[in-house]
Amino acid sequence: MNKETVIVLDFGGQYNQLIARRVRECNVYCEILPYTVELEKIKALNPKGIIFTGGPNSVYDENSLHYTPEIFELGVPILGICYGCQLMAYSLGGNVVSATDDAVSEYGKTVTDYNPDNILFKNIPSQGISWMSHRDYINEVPEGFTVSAATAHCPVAAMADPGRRLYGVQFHPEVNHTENGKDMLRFSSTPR
Amino acid sequence: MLRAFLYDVCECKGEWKMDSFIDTTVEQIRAQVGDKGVVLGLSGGVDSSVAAALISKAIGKQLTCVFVDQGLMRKDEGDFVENTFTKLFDMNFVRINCQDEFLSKLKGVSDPEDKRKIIGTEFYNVFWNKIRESYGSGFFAQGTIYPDRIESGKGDAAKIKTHHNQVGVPEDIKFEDIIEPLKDLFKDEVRAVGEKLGLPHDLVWRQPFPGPGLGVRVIGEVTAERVRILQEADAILRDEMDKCGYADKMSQFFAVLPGVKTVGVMGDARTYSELVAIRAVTTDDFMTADWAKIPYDILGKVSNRIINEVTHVNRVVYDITSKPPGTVEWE
Repeated sequence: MNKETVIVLDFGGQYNQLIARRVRECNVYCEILPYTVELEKIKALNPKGIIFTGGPNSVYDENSLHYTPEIFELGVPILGICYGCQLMAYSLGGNVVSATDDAVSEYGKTVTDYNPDNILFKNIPSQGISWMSHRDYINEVPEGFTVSAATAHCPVAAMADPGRRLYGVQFHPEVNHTENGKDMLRFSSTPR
Repeated sequence: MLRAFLYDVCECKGEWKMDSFIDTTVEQIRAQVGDKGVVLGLSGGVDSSVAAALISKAIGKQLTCVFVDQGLMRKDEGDFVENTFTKLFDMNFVRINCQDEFLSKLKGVSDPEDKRKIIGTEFYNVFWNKIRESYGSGFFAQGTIYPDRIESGKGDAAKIKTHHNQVGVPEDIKFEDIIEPLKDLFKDEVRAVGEKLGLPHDLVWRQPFPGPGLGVRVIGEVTAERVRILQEADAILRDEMDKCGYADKMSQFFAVLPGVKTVGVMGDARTYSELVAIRAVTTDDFMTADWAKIPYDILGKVSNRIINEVTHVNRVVYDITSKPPGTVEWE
């Protein structure tokens, strides 16, 4: 069957199946593939988009889970979530650092300012609660990207390069605690 | 946000809908199977039931469902499954009633792991002997769903999961291929498909049920009489929960027969009979669960009815343990 497919590239995050279900709820078919999948296989699936999941690693650790930067040259839109966003920044020349004190680590509901110029945020209020769960943060975005959301402690809560159709969010849009999540994503709640 | 990414950035049209999934899958099954037969092991659970309904829609009587009733399901559940599939769907339905065989193998066994092993082995033998005897060609179908086969990005990449297809089918049985029509669906999607295909609500929303059935809810030795006591008590619990509207608020609820006898007094006479425990939990994901705060008057009614209506029961208790540290099932 020739169907629109989005790939959820799994870096070991705890919400991976949730991301996939949210995508399906938007009536878009998606498959979860491990970060070890070959680029050729991704190309063969001819995806409409790719989502990088979160994960427990730090991008600069030697043993952390990476993917070949060639994926960014496919011309396929990519959304990086949490670790996936940091990996995108790191792979394309931005800078990711570890919070040296607890002030920058964020866990839980966090007030976030969104820039409506980012197409992802065009239909939501410019301020809202997002669900954060991270220790590392991006302090410098790669060339071509602009910062499009921030919190009191996190300078880059979202970044975008519309030209290359690359987007990243530090928070977790798939989790219901991200405010307006239901409306934003038009979640259909399952009965019972 | 995700929606904006999918629709505005990726320019998806949003064509993944369960109606079109059913139509496409029906066509695929027809094309793959041709005029050959398909046999499916039906457990009465959600996944195998939806798979059966979907394949039935595609090929009707070319599908044979083999349902092994080991007599360890809930009260009347075997009949309910049989009625559903013989009355609502076009297929060959084969029910194997083998409670006596199972119980004779379980005689004198009280260790939970031994019981599980015996029930598993016996099930495997009964099912595959039947297949070998009558349906050992054509296609084999099963209700594998997407979460059963997602490879995690966490583990060691070299350690690839054994494909579940290979598990279970004895080597001497050669099918043309395995059909897994639900292999790309999440549980909520499987349920949506089941509802669209006209499966009864009770089947589509069936609570998780352990593979060994009531064999692990009858603690200690499993006998026909003790299974009957548990089935009766469990049926009363379900009836009351349905009546008060609590059934749909619980993630799971059931009765357990702990194998404890206690002293009571009924009709001025001393009794020394079985204890029934009630277990009810709420959970989002079954990784953690909280014991359900069922109102006392409902619990009281359940207790009263069980003691009055089920012979050889003289006491009812309610399990107030969360998970962790407890588990949902008792063994």
